[in-house]
Amino acid sequence: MTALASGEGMRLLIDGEREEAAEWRRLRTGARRSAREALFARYREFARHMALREFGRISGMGLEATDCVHEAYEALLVCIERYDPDRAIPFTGYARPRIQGAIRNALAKASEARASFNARRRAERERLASLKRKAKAGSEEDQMEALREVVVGMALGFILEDNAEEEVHSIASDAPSAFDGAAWKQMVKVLGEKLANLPDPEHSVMDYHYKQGLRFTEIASLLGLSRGRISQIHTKALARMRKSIAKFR
Amino acid sequence: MAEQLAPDSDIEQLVATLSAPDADDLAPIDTLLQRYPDDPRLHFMRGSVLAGQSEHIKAHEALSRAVEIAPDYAIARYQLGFFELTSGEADRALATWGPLLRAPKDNYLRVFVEGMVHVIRDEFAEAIAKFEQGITLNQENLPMNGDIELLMRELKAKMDAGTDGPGASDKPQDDEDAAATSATSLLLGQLGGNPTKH
Repeated sequence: MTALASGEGMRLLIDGEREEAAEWRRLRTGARRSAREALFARYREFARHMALREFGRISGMGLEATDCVHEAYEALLVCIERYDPDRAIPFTGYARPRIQGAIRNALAKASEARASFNARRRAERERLASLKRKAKAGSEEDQMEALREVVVGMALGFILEDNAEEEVHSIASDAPSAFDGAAWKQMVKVLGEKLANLPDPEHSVMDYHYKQGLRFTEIASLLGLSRGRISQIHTKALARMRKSIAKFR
Repeated sequence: MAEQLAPDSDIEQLVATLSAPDADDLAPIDTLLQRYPDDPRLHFMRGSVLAGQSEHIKAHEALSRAVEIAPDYAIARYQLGFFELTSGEADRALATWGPLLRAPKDNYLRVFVEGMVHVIRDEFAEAIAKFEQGITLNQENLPMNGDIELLMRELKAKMDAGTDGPGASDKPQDDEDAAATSATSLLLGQLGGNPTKH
């Protein structure tokens, strides 16, 4: 749906089937990025549900539920790219066996290799890698500044995560004073606002990564950009946010 | 250029065929299209039948082709815009409808478009006023009046329920059915009106 089409009047007019058909049409001929995002949002829960069901069937094979969900998301993105809406088969019928196959393949591989890290660690590595690129060789002072940026950037990342709210409450209650707790809460609030006001594509990347839990590779597929470019955008967005909240440090 | 258009007698026969109760076959349209591939009326009819078959991507393609061939084919342009609006593409619909807003103020299609713009903005009272005006002006395409009246009833129901405006949610099932009926039925029965060819 377009930016104008958000009110009650549009809800009255929109035909759901046509709306989805328009998304597939635009994916082929028009605004590919927005169409891809709309289709991903439309079928994301379908993929997540499949992942959790598969995980429930074959758990304890070296993958965590989150890993299964991400495997499903990646397979979903591939399916969105490859699906031909002119075919008689509905998308769910096309995607179901493919997503299922991707999850089972991942489970099998993980079982063999006993993967030792989970999705969160991978996400942390992605973030760290994107930040470290800024820490190029230079004077000791430059490197200290780069290190400071990395640490602050990572801290911002943790705060922005979905579960940050709970962590914030516990941190605030342990704070030495009521003022510190309030200041922390205020910073978190400001951070949320800063994220919401980031220009695109920074906003999209940060929202998908921190709020929706997508990996850089998935965001890259979604936005039609390279993984390296997503990493750059992530770094830039964190730097912008760090500057905006400088007064809190 | 006249040879690019199917004879009116062929079009009339085709309309009669398609007006049969269970007629949704593309075959007679495609047969004529092989002979007259640039007749916008045939593409418009094809789009209408495809929309009725829920072949939405192909329907949009056919309606777009009709307007591409004949930009002044007003009813096709109106229906293409309405199809886009019901597909959630308000911006695109407004772009498609743009030329209709240059029509005289008493052109019923222009007035209907103005009403639709008010619907997009959730200005239901203003939309209803425009639709009433358009229905009065429209004497050549009566099936369209019926569909607009259906939409007006939905808008009035929303206003009566006090859910007029942004933030309202949870559309009743009856409303959805009615909206769907309006969305799909508007395209059919609109085959009159000659395209303007230049």
